Amino acid sequence: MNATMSDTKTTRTICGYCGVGCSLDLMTRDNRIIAVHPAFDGPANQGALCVKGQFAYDYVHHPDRLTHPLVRDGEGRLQKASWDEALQRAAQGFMDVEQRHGRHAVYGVASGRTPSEANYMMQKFIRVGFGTNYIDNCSRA
Amino acid sequence: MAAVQHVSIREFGWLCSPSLSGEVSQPQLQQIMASVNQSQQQPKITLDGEQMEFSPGETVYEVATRAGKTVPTLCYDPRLEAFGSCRLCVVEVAGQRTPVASCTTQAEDGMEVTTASAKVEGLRRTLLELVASENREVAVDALRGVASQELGTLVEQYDAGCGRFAGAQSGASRPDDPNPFILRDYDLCISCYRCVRVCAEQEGDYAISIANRGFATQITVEFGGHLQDSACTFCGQCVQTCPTGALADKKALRFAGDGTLNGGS
Amino acid sequence: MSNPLADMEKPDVIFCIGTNMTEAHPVAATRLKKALARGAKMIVADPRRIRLAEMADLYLPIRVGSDTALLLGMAHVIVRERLADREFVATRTEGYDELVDHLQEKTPEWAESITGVPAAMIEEAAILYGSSDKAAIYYTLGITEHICGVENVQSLCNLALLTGNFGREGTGVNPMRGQNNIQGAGDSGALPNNYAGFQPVDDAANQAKFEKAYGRKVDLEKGITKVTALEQCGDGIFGMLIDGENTVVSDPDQEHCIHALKSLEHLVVIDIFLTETAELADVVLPAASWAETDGNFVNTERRIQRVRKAVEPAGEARPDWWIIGQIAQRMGMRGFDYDSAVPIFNELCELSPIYAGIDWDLAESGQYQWPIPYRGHPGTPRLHEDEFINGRGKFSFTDYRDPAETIDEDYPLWLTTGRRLESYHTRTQTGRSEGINDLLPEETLEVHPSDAARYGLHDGGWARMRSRRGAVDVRVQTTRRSPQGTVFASFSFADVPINVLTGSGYDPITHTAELKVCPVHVESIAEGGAVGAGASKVLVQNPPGDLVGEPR
Repeated sequence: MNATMSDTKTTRTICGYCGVGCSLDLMTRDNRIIAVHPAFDGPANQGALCVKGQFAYDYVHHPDRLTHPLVRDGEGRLQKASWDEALQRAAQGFMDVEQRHGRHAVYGVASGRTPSEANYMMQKFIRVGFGTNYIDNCSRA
Repeated sequence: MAAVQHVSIREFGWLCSPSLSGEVSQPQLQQIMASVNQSQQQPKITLDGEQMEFSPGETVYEVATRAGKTVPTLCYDPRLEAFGSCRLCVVEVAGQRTPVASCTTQAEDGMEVTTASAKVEGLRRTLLELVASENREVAVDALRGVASQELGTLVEQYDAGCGRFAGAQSGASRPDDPNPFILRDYDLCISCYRCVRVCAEQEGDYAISIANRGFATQITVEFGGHLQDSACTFCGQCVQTCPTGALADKKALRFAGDGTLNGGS
Repeated sequence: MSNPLADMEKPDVIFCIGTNMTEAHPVAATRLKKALARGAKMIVADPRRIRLAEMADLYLPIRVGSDTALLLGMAHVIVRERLADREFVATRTEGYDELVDHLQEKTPEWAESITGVPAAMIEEAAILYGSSDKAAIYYTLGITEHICGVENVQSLCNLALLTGNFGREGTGVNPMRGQNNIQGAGDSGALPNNYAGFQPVDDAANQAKFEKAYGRKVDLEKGITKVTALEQCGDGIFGMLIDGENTVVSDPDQEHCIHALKSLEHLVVIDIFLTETAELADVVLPAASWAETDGNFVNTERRIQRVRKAVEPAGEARPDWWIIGQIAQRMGMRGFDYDSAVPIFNELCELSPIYAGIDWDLAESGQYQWPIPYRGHPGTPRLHEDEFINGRGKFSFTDYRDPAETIDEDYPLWLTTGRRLESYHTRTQTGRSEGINDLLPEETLEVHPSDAARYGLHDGGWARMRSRRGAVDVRVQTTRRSPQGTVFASFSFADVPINVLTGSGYDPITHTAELKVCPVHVESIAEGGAVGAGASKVLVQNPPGDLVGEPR
């Protein structure tokens, strides 16, 4: 192994773009993705990737990433907040809506991009929280 | 299983044929069945003195690899049609005057193969010396691509410096190609055609082509232009199969310090 | 997909309809290319002369939104030419005689009058598909994003049922899922009609099962779809939790969508960027992105595959499951106290018969394709091998319907929308990855040269494109990839928000928007940049920090 790779970590994962599900190895160094290597034993891709899976990964480290919660202030602006404050605000808002308009007034939209665990939590949140089936994912548009 | 084909329908037909006069005795039947069974068995080759079964259609290289032998190659990618251009996978076959490329030689029943005789190891070293002498450098950063260390590793393993044949170098790099992803450092190209073949056979884009012949061989794209003006879709498969880093991952090289064509590591 | 990806190398005849696979699913397309190299024949039906069309043995240039007519015409020919698989039809289907009656009038000539594809080509396609031993259908959103998406899919199933192309290697009806885990989202129960594992919510036994698991009785009535929910915002729906969706840019009728979200009393968005949608939220919660979290994705062939954390989340970002669990716990909900993704996935498996044979540890191998009904079951790469889920495959008696809006004097061109190879969805990710913008710096409207001449447009010049809902300015690219009378643009670029224009109608059953058909009017303008100008009052902000290097 080349000397420059000794400080590089390899993590096997699945491409995050389309539904083909190509296996790939993320090469990381100092908590940063430095390269993507296709997995030759990936069942869906057998060593192939496309331009997105191969090269479009550095959004993960883009300065635009949201790095802290935001809450809307009295003047209508989104302001930086602590997790505790933001989560409390999120929870209280849903409780207020339910109190004012009933349990069919809250809706959940799950993502086709997040892992299944996030989707499962989204539907459980709506079903347990409000006793409704007011949950969908983004497959209709 | 293809091996069953060794027993022809005619043999079984004869066994069952009503024209067969009289009863077949038990010992006779056993004898017949034994011969049928034998012909049903997997064909074998002798590999460095050991018997190895193989399936019809397998190459000597595939059988040897399956047996755990390390046969060096540079032009081989298991996903692609065998090509036989680098000749590093040469092996000796009993009865053949010269060594043969194992990647393009089909295994045949009874074949006796030696994978690492002094003769083929010597040949391999010479071939590697010739290949290494054509390139500006042999040790390249692993971030260039998955297979980029193949040549460097073999040169080290065979202690095949480029000194003996130092001189002319082949392949002209394309520092002018402004594409953001693929470095075309053809100075390191050894004309194994893995990029050409992976683009055609695996990706199906046929974007990469070959200009000139022999020592003047140059990997290129249509009209000798830039990748962005070709059929290239930037899937990166050529980069990841290149055994020398001649085609390299430009983005990854941001972290290697040899992102330019003239650098090295 | 009914069949595994590996089967894509096996068909004798490939029928692609409404799928731009070389751009939207490039790695799957490599398998079709291998089948073609091996000698398979390919039929491609698409309004645009896409790369797949160039590779086809038979290209059917259909008018947008006319798929059902084409497929009925093909079914007519298959029956007429006695190409139906009699044994399969007799043993595995029902409704054949009624279908034959139904198809009586659906002649290829009738289909030609709607699709614009010559009857002889429809006959050729039907005979090619119907007479092969192994024929496989592949489709994508070009089939489903219509008001008749359900009929389109049913019409495709009719063809496969007629010819016995189910349950065998290299056959099937195969939708290519567009997002990495859109399959998993449905599997996990993020649907208004199904609990996890596609267990219907209107079945009292399922209601009881989940009441026991969740400690709360959930409505026996189905919920409403997202489309309906957006319509009811401010009038029934007052709070919304959106996880990882840029609704404002990806959904049709942008003005309506923004208005809907603004009329909520409480909007919480979980995302990795401050998207156009997150900008409207009361609370924005930063999620760990791909490469920063552990979990499972389910791909288009129903394969459950592990995704692994490779780097620490940016700043204070946290995994989605943690964020949702925290909100739930602060609302006093029980059963949300998870310490990792592992017990969440295991709970999903325990409650879902299609996942019953696996758990987190078994899913590690990536070898399982659901259904995996019990421990030790190897998974099901190929569906419908012995029988269909409900026993027999039912033929559907579909009919052609016009799109929600059709071209007229005011809106004389068909606009169809889709994806491009280098960009993904609303570019929140690809637009922030170095190099991608060099390959695809801006959106263009693909116009046939004769249409360009007719409407005074020039290659590289600007056009203002209007629909009944709004207007956008976009640079023109003349190309014969677009047929005469139809223009194309992707919905990826926030500064050319194509979905300002779309949204004419929805499939009444699935509520999928008709994003593939939108009559428009185009005119040449001096220079672009006035987003949403003219008919539209919408002004869409670019994400903060600007996308990497493409000043307009």
